[in-house]
Amino acid sequence: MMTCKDFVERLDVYLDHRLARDEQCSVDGHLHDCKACRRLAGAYQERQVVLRTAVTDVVAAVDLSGLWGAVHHAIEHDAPVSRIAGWRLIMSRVRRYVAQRTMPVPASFTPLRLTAWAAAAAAVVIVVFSLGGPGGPGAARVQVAEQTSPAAPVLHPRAHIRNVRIDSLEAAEGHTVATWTQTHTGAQVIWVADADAIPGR
Amino acid sequence: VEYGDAELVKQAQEGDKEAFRVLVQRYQRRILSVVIGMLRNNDDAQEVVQETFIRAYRNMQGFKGDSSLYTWLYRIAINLSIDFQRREKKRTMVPFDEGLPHGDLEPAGTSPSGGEDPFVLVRNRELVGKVFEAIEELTPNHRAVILLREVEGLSYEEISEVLGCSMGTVMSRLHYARKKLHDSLADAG
Repeated sequence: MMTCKDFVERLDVYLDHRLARDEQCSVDGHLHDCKACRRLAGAYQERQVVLRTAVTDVVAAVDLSGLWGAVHHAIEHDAPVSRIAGWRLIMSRVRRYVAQRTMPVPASFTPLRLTAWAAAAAAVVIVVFSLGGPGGPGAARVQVAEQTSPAAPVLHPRAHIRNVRIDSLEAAEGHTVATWTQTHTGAQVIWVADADAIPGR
Repeated sequence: VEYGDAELVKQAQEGDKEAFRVLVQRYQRRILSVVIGMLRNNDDAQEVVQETFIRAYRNMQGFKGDSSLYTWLYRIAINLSIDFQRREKKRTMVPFDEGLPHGDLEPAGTSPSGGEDPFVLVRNRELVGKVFEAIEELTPNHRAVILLREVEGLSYEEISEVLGCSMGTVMSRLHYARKKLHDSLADAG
C-alpha cells in the first residue's frame, strides 16, 4: 500500500512519466484514494504547463527573421557579435533607458520605421547646437527636433534647450539616435534621424 | 528534400553555409526558449542566440556527432548565458532585472490588441510575470535544468549530456527547482 510519503518521493518520476508499470499502478491507486496527493500532483502539473506556455508564448512573439543574416555576416566577416548586432542593440538600449525613466516608448518605435521617424523629426527642427564641448574632439552638430508622437514629451523653444542634458548619442547603419533629458522638467526625449540629415557630419 | 542533422552538419563542416543556415533556422527558436528563460530579456537573449550559432559554426569541425546536434547547441547556449549573466553582473551598468512589467518580454496574448478580455489579459500577464520571477530566483544550473526539462522536454540523459553532469545530479536539481517554483508560485498566490 503506497503512502503519501512514498508518493511524494516518486513525484518527479511520476511527472516525467518514468515510473515502472507496477509502480505506476500503485501511484494511480494512491491518487485515486488520496485527495491531498491528487491536489499536489495537479498543482505541479499546472506549474509545468504555465512555465511551458509562458516561455513558448514569449518566444513566439520574437521576430527572428534577421537572425540568420546577423550570423551569416559574422561568420563571413569574422566579426564579433557586438558589431553585427549594433543597430538592434542601440535601439534596445534606448528603449531600456527610456522605459526605466517612465516615458512610454510608442509601440511603433522600431528600426523598420526609422525613415518615417526621421522624416517627422526633420520636419520640426527647432535648433542646432554643439555636443561634446565646443571644438572638442568628439564634437558633432545635432539637430534637436520636437517629437510628433502624442505619447512623447515636447521640446520647446531655444530657452529650454539650454537646460538639456544629453544622455547618449550613437550612430549605426546610417542612423543617429540621441536621448536627452530636460533638466528642469525631467522629460526625456529620444530622437532618430538619418545620418545624412545631420548638417556638419 | 529535407536533410537530417548529420548530413547538414557534414555539409557545414565542408564550408557549406547554406546547410548551416538550415540548421540555424531549424533550432533558433528552441535555443531561444532556453536562453530567454535563462536571461529574461529578449534583446540579450537574441544576442546570446546569435553568438551560440556563430560559436557553433566556428567550432563545427570539433563536433564529432557523438551527441545530438541540439544537445551540443544547448550546451553552448547555456554556457554563454551563464557567462553573459556573470559579465552583466560585473558591469552593473544596466540593471539586469528587467522583467515583464518594464522589459522587453511580452508574451503573445498579453497585449491588449483589442477584443480580448482585459481581466484574462491581466491574469495571464501576472501569472507569466510570477513564473519568470520564480525562475529568476533559481541558480543558473537549476534554471537550466528546469527549462530543458519542462520547456524543451529533454530526457534526463539528454540534460546530463548538455550540462555535463550525472543523471543523479539532474534529478536532484530538477526536484529542487520544481519544488522552489511550486513554492514561489504558491506564495505569490
